[in-house]
Amino acid sequence: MAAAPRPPSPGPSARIWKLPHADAVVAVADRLLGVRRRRVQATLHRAVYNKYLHPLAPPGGTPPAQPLYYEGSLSGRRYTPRLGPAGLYLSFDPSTPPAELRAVIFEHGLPVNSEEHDPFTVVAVRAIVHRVLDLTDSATLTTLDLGPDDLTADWEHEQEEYGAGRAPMPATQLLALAAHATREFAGILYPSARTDFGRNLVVFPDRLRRRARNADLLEVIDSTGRYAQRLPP
Amino acid sequence: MAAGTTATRGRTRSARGSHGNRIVVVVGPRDASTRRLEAALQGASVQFVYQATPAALLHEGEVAVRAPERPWLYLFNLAAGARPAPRGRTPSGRRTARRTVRGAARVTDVEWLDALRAVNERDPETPILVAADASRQQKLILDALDAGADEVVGPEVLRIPALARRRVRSALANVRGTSADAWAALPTGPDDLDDGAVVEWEDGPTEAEAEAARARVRQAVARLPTREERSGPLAELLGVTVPELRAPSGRLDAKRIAACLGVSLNRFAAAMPVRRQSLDETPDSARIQAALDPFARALAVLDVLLPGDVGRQWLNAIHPGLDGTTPLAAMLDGRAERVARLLEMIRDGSLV
Repeated sequence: MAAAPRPPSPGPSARIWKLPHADAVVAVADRLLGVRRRRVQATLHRAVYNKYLHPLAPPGGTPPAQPLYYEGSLSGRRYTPRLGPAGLYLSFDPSTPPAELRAVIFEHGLPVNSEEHDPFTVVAVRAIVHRVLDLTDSATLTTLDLGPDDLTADWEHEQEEYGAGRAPMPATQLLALAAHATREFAGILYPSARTDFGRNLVVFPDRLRRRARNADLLEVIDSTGRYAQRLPP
Repeated sequence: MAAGTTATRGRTRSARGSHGNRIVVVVGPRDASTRRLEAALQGASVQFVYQATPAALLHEGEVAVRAPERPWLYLFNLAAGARPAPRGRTPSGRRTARRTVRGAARVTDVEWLDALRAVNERDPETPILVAADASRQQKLILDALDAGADEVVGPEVLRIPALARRRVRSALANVRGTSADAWAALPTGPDDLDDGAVVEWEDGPTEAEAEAARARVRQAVARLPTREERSGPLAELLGVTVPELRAPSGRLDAKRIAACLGVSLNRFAAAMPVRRQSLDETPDSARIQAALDPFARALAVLDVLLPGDVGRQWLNAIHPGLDGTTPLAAMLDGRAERVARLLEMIRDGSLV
């Protein structure tokens, strides 16, 4: 039997992240398959403007609220390349989502400035997610040849440069792309770039397992049922 | 068994001469529950000593633990083997359900409680933890607390190491207070987040799974969107309909978008890849659809997020995330995509 092709090597000094796109995906995926994974079982949080939870009624009636809506990420996020794979972003800390909404600006972990804003709702999500890549783990970062700066870089500028053909895909997006392509990761745990204390989880909804021995679950906690939503559905 | 802990089966095989270990005396069998507690206390230099039954613990009415040091904690594993069983009469004459402990004699609730009470009376400074299933053993749990148990852990708690450690801490605090060395000795563990979340390592893919994954990646790479495709229009994919911004042809209309933004077609043309005259003649040209896409997406979000005049104010107010320019100026100088994404991220509550 012919041996499987070896993943492309960038050479001793170059980084795998700078390889041609397809080679980079393969090389990053190869390294990912050698890192440990996490199981996350926690109450996570997400903030959504009320007007998006209660959209104006279209013809035919008001659709149910979708606090776990994630397809907007297809326009590109830190861990979501433009056009996908799509990701749902959640925080471990209820303070972080409002910060991410720019309603509150944190410095050294304290709210120092509040801006006027429309009402928003912070929903708590009961989460059990297996097969999570942990970017808060230094050993994982070392294996992937990633540093803290890579995780907090200006991904929007890098995405524009990539779109214009002047630079590779942002490392965080390439990482998500490779992790998703392996089908061996359901999400990524990462430090917040917006606050100096928050941790976030981006979940690939199409990689959640419903019936496996280690089934995954994301479920909005809401005794009223008004915001009830779960993934996988 | 978890690394960092040791377990000894039987009442006489506990001593291994390792001073400094904390002794957890388990009354009952070593099963999934106790193994989970062993794992939860990993790193706390804990040695588990097993006494299969209460009778093995009590000798002529006295607590007879053969351990190298004084027990640090008692764990009564009442959940083990609990299942519906024929009712019998206990030595004390009270009717009670009989429970079966795997590999040991049948033990009644009364025997469990008598042993627990005896331990509490003779060794009141050592906390007693009870493992029981609250869904099936409510009465036994209440009786155990009355008899001197300090804390109760159920199967669900034991599945979460951080929670199990909290219950052990609670039992310790109940007896010795939170300033005691025993309290401080318990590890919080690297996997305990302050918010109570549990983030545990799990097995990675096997070599076979990894090889299959590599094959999947090689196949997926060939089907991934190209850079050009990733840079293309998104409105349709994102479900942005905006009929008020479309021409009868169904395509986005530059004149309508410029009017919605409140700018002249002359000014708007600067952001388009065609001349102003072409824009005037064919405002829904196929050539400009990609350039119009982020404008339509931004206006669609703005229409819901900040409808009417408030939206127009937002467009004309300097935004700190746009290098000190206004969103409108940024859109017209080629950064419409950035503004659209900014609004979409605000809408989604995306965490970056």
